[in-house]
Amino acid sequence: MKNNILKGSVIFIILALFLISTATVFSADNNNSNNDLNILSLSKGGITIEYPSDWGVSKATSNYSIMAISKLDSIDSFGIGQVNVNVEKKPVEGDFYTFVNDSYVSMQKDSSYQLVSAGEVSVGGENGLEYIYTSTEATGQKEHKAVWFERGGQAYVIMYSAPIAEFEDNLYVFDYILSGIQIT
Amino acid sequence: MSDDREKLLRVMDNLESDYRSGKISAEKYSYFRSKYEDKLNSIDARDATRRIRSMQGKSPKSTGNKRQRKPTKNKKKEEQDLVQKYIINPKKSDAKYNKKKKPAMDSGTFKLLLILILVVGFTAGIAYGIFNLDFGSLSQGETVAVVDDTAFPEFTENVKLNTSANNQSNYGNYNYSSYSSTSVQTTADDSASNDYDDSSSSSSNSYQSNQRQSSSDSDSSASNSRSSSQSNVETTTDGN
Repeated sequence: MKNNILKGSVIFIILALFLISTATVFSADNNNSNNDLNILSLSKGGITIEYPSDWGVSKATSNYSIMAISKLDSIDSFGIGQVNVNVEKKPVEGDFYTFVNDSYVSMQKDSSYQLVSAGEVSVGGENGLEYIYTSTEATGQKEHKAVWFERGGQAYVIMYSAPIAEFEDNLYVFDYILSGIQIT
Repeated sequence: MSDDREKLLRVMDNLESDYRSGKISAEKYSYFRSKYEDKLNSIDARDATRRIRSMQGKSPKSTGNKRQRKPTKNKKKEEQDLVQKYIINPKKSDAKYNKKKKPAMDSGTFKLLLILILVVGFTAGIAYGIFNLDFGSLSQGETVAVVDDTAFPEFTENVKLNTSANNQSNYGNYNYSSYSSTSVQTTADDSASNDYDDSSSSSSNSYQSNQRQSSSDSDSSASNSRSSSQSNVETTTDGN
């Protein structure tokens, strides 16, 4: 009786190990096939974003920045990420919509900036504003897409910037980030 | 015959004392007691029959011997059996009162099986964790680049200045912040100040360079302390 139980247990263990090894082999195969693009996660200041592995965490020079990421192959010899997404926040002074609009009213007075479009969007379940504009910089012209929303008296803005030639090509990443953004 | 009775009474006394001391259960006690009482009654009945026969003048030996021969032969053995059966080792004969439920498997095997199941469970869990945890997503610490773009730039208004013939431009009122993108572009008559460099609009790849290229005269009042800025102030000089 006891021997039978022992034999049964050994067979059970061997079967379990076989199943585990088989599952891990399949899992490893799947991982290899998806090695081209992994999804990474970055969480700071109550904001969580998911982004592809060909982008990397960056340090923003703006004092208002919460987090920033850059496309790895867009980093120039000075270490500047030309294609990037920067998440910033700033205390709202007065009405949120007025606060945001005022920024772009000021921008229109500067010939370095050209407002392309403006409208309303929804981001992470919050109503927000979207502005697309171009800027002329030392390195050339860049296009920016800024999505604003308000939370707890703070104006949050998620801004995607890229050289004009690369703007459309990488816009899907920004859209992906916006679709999966979590605001806590 | 009276010996049998006495012995039976002794056995019953023993039974009684065993019951009182808790050696046997109440069920067994009542079972054996009723058996012994039956035997005692049968002995009493036999004694009574013998007495009646003797009173009738019949010899009790003729029939009694025949009848008693058999029991008396095995009397000792029967007693021993009784004592053995019901008192000393009741398990053998009365199994139904002594049934102990044996566990389906003994505790050693059960423990071994339990340990094996736990080991397999832990192994499976660890393997699942190792092969499904995305370690890449945990490494967020290293920064790979610097991001200059911001949604809160400081804008600079473009202003056209008409200066007098003395070719003096005033830049002092403009804000050259680190985020402004301004460049100085000077337009002048040929006869006037040729000191201005027409190539001022060309861009530089240096982020620290100052793109402001202006005349060599006294326009140094402009703020040159800015970094990564490009002034874009159009100055129209009247050559007359």
